[in-house]
Amino acid sequence: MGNIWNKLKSIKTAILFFILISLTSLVGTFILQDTNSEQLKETYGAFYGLFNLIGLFDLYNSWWFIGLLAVFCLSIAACSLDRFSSIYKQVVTPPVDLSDEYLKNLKYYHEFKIQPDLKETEASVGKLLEKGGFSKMTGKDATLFHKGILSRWGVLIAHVSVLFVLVGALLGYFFGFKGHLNLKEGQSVSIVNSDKKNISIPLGFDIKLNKFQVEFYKNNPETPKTFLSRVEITDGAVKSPGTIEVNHPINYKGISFYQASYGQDEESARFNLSVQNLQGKEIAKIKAGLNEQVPLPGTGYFVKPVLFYPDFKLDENMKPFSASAESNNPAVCLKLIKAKEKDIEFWVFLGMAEFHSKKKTPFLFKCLDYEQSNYSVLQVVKDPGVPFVYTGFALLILGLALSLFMYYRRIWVKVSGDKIIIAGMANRDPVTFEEEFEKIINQVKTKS
Amino acid sequence: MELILIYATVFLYLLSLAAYWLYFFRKTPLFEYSSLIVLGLGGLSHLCSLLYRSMILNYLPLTSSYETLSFLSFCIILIILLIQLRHKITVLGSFILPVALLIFIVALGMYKEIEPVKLIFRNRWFSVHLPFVFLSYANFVMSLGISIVYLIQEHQVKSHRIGKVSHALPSLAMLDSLNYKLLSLGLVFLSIGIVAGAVWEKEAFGSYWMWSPKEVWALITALIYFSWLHLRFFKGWRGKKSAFFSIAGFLSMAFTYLGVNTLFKGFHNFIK
Amino acid sequence: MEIIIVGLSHKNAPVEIREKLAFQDNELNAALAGLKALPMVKEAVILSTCNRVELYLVVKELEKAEEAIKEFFSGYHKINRSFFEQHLYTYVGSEALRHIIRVSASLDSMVVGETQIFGQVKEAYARARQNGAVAKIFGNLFQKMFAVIKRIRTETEIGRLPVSVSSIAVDLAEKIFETLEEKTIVIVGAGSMSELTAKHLIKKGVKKVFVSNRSYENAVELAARVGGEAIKYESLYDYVLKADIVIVSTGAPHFVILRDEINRCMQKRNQKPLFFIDISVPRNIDPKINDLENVYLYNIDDLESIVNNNKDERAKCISKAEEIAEKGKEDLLKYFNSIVLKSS
Repeated sequence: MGNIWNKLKSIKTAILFFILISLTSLVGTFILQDTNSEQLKETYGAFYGLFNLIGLFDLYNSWWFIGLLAVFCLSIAACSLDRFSSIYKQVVTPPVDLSDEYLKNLKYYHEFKIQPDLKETEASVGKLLEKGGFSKMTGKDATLFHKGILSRWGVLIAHVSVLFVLVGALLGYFFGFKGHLNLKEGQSVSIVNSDKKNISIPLGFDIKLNKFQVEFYKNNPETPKTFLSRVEITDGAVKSPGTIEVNHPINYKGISFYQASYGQDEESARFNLSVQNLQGKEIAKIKAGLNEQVPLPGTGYFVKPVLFYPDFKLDENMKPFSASAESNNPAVCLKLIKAKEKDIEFWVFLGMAEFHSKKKTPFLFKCLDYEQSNYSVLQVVKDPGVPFVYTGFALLILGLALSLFMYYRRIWVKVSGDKIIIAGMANRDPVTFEEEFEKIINQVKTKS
Repeated sequence: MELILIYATVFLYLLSLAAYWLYFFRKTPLFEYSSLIVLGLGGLSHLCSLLYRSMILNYLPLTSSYETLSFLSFCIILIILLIQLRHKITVLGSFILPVALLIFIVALGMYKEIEPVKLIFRNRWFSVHLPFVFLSYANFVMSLGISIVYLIQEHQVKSHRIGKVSHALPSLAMLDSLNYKLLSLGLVFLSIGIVAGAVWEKEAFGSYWMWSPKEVWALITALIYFSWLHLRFFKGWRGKKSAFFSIAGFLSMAFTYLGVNTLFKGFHNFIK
Repeated sequence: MEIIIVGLSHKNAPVEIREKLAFQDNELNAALAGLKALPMVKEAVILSTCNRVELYLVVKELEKAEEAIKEFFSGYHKINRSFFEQHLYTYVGSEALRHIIRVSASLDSMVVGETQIFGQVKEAYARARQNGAVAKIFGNLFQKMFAVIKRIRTETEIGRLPVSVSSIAVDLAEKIFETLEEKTIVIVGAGSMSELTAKHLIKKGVKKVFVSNRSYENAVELAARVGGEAIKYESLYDYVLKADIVIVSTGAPHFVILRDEINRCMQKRNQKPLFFIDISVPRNIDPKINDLENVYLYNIDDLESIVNNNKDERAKCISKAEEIAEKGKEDLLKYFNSIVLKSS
C-alpha cells in the first residue's frame, strides 16, 4: 500500500499522467468526435464497431478517459497530502534549535563577537528582522525568523486547485447535461434533448420564446451587432420574464440558457406574389404561406407554394436542392390548382423576376419578396461542477503566482558562547536573498 | 494615420536592428545606446498604431491575424527592452529582434482594414483571455531565442571552443536564469489566458471546456511547460534540458496558435 | 614650447637599472616638486612602474631641458649619469605624443594588451594634477589621450582577451556562472599553479575556499595563505558536492576525481553546474566527466591552447590599434600646435 502511495505522488507519475492526458486528448483531435456520423462507419469499415465500443468517437466522455482523469485526481491528492506534511514540518513546525555545526554549513553564515551585551544585540537583530517582515519563532537557545511562507503554501494551493477543477469536471460529467433548444416565437417547451446521451430531460418548468431580435451593423450587414431572445419562464404559478443575449446567459434553478445561434424558420415563410396575365398586365397581388392554398380571384384557380429553397441549385441529375440555409438564391415552387384540371408545378425565383418557367401556365407569376420569422437556438446546460471548477481556476492562478513569484527564506539567530551566529537559507532566488542577508549583517554592524 | 505609424515602426526597427548588428561586431557604447533608444522609439510608434486601432474598434486590437501578430511582436520588443535595461545584455537584440521584426512583417502581409468586432468577442473574460495569451506567447518566443543562444554557448564552453562567439554571448548562468524567468512568467500568463478563455467559453457557449483542437493543443502546451516546471524543481532539469523543453513548448505553442486553425478547418468558427 | 619624454623601460634597460631610477609612491610628491623647480619645465607627469620610468614634460629651451632632466635623475637618485645614460631614450614633439599613446594603450608593454598600464598612467596624471604640476597643455592633452585609449579598447579586442592560464580560468568561470560572488571553490593539491588560479578567483569575489591535500599540514598552510579552510582528503567529495569550481593539481600519477563519483554528486546537487580545472600533469581528473551534463572540465592543454589563440588574436588587433593610435597622435599634435601658436 505504501508503495502504491509513493508511486502515486512521485514526479515520474505526474509526468506520466501529463503525457497520457496529452496523447489521448490528441487522438480525439484526429478522429471526428461524433457517434452518429455515417461517414465514420464508411471510413473505418470493419473496425467501426470496435472503435465505437472503446469509445474512440466520444473519447472525452469514454469510461477510460474519465477513469484516467479520476486516477490523476488521486495522484494529485497524494501529492497535495505529501506537500502538506512537508510544509507542516518545514514551515509550521520548523526546526529552531540547530547545532552550531549545522548552521556553519549553511550557505549564508555570519558570526559576531560583540561584547559585553550579547543578549541586547540578539534582541536588536530580532527587531530588525521583524521590521523586515520576518515572522519569529523562539526555541530553547536559538530564534528562527522566516519570510515568504506563502510561497510554500502556494505550491499546495496550485495542486489543490487542479483537484477542484477535476472534481468539478467529474461532477458535471455525472450530474449535468447539455442540450439544444430551437425555439420559434411563441413556442413553449418543458423538455430538452440531451446532446450526448440521446435522452429527453424534463426541465421542471416551461420556457417560452416571446420575441427574437437581431440587429446588424449598418456598414457591414453580414455581421450581427446583437441578437437576443426575450423569454418567459413559467414554473407552476410563478412567471418570470428574462432576456438571453450573446455572452449574457440566464440561469433558472441551476439550469443555464445561452444564446447560441439563430436560424430562419423556413416553415414560416410567406410569399408576396404578383400575378399577371400573359400580356404582362397585373391582375392580382396575393399573399401565401408555405402549403397554404390561396384562390386567384375570378379565375377559379388556386395557388399553393409547396417548396421553398433559400439557396436553389440543381444537382447532377438536374434535381433541385437547397445548397444552404442562406438566402443566396431563394426560389419557391408553386402549384397551380383547378378543379378537374391537372396541377401545374413550376419554380419562381426571387432574384430573377423576369425568368419564367418553360411550363405552360395560364398566368405569369412574380415573387416580389417573402417574410420569414427566425427561430432562436438556445444552449441548455446544467453543470453542478461549475463552482468547483471556478474555485479551482482562481486557486490555480493564486497558487502559481505565490509559488513562482515569492520565495521562502529562513534566518537563525543564536547566541553561542561568546558570539552571535546569524545563518540563513533560501529556497530560491539566491541573489536577492544574498542582498537581503548582507543588508541585515551590515545593519547589525553599524548598530553595535 | 495608422499606415504612417506602421511605416515609422518598421523603419525604426530596421534602424535599431542595424545598430544591434553593428554592436555585435563592434562593442561601442554608441551602438549599445542607439540600438536601445531607437528600438524604444519604434516600440512607442508600434504601441501608438495599436492604440489607434483599439480606439476605433472600441475593443482590444486583437481581432484579426494582423492585429494579434502585431501585438505579439510588440510584446517581444517590450521584453527585449526590459531585459536590456535590467540585465544589460545588448547582444540578445541581434538575435531576437529579427524574429520580432519577421513576425511584424508577416503581420503586415495580413494587413486588413478595421472590421467590426464579432458579437461573441465582446466579453470581459475574452478581453482578459487575449492579451494574456499573447503575452505568454511573447515570453515563449523570447525563451526560445534564449534557449538557442544557450545551446550554442553551452556547446562552445563544453567543447573548449573559447573565442569570438563565446565572448559575444552572455554567460550560461545568465541565460539559464533568464530562461527560467521567462518560462515561469509565460506559464502564469498562459494559465491566466486559458482560465479566462474557459470562463468566456462558459458564458458564450455554456461549457468551460469543449475539447476543441485549439483547447487540446493549449492544454498540451501548458502540460509541456508544467512538466518542465516539475522536472526543474525536483530533478534539476536546468540548462540544456530546460532549453530543449523551451523548444518543445514553443513548437506546441506555435501549432496551437497557427497550425490548429489551418489544419483543423472550420473548427474554430465559434459563430457564423 | 615643446613636449619631451625622457625615460627607460624593460625594452632597453635591465631591472637593476630600472629599480635604481624608479620613484616610490611616497617619493612622487617630492620628485614632482623637484621637476617643477627646474626653470625650463612648465608641466610634468611622472610614470613609474616596475617595467618603466618615464617623465612627461612640457619644456622651454629643449636642449637645455634635456640636460637638466638627466641631471635631475642623477641628482635625485644620487647615482652617476654614466650608470644609466646609455639606457635612456628621449622622445620629442610628435614622437613623444605617439609614445604616450602607445604606452597607455599597452602597445609598448611586455605583454601587449595588458590593462594595468592605462590605470597607472591615469594615476600618474592624477598625482601630477594634485601637486599642481599639470596646467593647460597636459590637462587637455591627457584628457584627449584618454579618449583615444578608450577608442582603441572598444574598437579592438586588445586587452579584452586574457592571456594567462589563471585569468583564462576566471574568464571561463564567468562564462559559466556569470559572477563568482557567493561561489565556493575546492582546491585539491597544494601546487603553486592552483594557488595562483585560486587567488585570481578569490579576487573576483569567491566566498568560500576549501583546500584538500594528501598531507593535511600542507593543506592547512595553503588554506592560511588564500584565506580558506583545510579539509580532510578523505571527505573531498563531500565538499565537491557543495562546490562550484574545483581546481586539481596534485602530483598523483592517477585520477583523483572519478566519473562515477561526480555523476552521483551531480544527482545529489540537483544538477547545479560544476567547473573543473585540471592543471596537473599527468592528468588527475577523469576526462570522461566532461560528458556529464552541466559539468565542464578544462585541463592544462585546453587552457594553454586558449592562451595561444588569444595571443594570436591580440597580435591581429595590434595593427588596428596602431592605426587608431597614429590618428590619435595627429589630432593631439594639431591641438598642441594650435595652443603653442596662440600663446606665442
